Amino acid sequence: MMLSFFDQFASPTYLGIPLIALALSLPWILYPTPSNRWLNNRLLTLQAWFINRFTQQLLLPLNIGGHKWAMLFASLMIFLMTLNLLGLLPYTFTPTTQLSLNMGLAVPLWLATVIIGMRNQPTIALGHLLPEGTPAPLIPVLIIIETISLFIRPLALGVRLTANLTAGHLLIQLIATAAFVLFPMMPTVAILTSTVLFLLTLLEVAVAMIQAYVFVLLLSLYLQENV
Amino acid sequence: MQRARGLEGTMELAAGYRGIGLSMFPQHLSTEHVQTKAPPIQPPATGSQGPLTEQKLMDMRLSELPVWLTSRRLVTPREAVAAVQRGWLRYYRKYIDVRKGGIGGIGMLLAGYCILSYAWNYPHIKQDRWRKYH
Repeated sequence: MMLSFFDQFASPTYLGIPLIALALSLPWILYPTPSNRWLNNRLLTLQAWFINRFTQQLLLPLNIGGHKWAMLFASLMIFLMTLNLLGLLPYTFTPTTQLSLNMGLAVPLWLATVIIGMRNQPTIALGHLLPEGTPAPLIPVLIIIETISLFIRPLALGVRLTANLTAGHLLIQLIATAAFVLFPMMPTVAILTSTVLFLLTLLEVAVAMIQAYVFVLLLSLYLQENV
Repeated sequence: MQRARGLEGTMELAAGYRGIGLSMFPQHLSTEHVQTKAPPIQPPATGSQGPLTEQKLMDMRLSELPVWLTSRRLVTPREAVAAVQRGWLRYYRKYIDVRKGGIGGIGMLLAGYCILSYAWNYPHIKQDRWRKYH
């Protein structure tokens, strides 16, 4: 039986435990708790530097009400980035290729921002449905369009992450298979394909980090509108 | 070496007492002769096999591993979790929690993760072997 290219996205079970359980709990081990020493080890120093820079950057446009979400955003960013990057290692499983997981992250967080806006400042939250300076005849149409775009946000958040990672992994597997099969027949073409594979892997590393950042950035923007 | 204040009169330190000084404070007493450590015990002969269950994991040979695992006294889940925690802390303190740790600490973890994932996937991957006709 030949394996299809989509088999890498099925989480295999071993002794009844799916691999996704191990893949989801690994980021917990990789980031140790900071100790109360003055000088920590290199891993903790790097981790603290990165989290501080990222949180400062992300929370810059948010007001004080939005700062309550700081820990959630920082941990979500670290979690997603680690999951994406670990999935680039051979034979590992990437949980963020599963639409269920990404929708499970996107829908509750988006809904939380909408509910916060509707409860605390309903007029302003509804006012976002109409951009400033629209001509009068366009107002009804634009409100409908903006409502649709509001409700499509969680779908877009989840599907964006899923699609980017799934497409990246599939491309890597396809090009690697091509290089592997071409090698006995046409070594030159195989070397070119290997070069493409190498560049693609670099791209995938970048995509892994960028997609996690975009997810959290968009959530912070949605929060900024509503808080 | 600790300063033994007020102990000049005791018998054990009398042999090391350095005489009367002019100051009111006692002199620095040497205590090399005081036996504070137990004499070194002879290390057990190499190759000696005590009871299999009492040896630690790192002393086992690979072929003895299944016997060792099954003959340990039945552990509660709490003890198992505590043992895993201790093992992790040993690894962390040796390779990661050092002043100039390198990439090896995390690298070994990730390599072990890759190998574990491969073993996890193997029943599925082995179906994709070289065949004459696909």
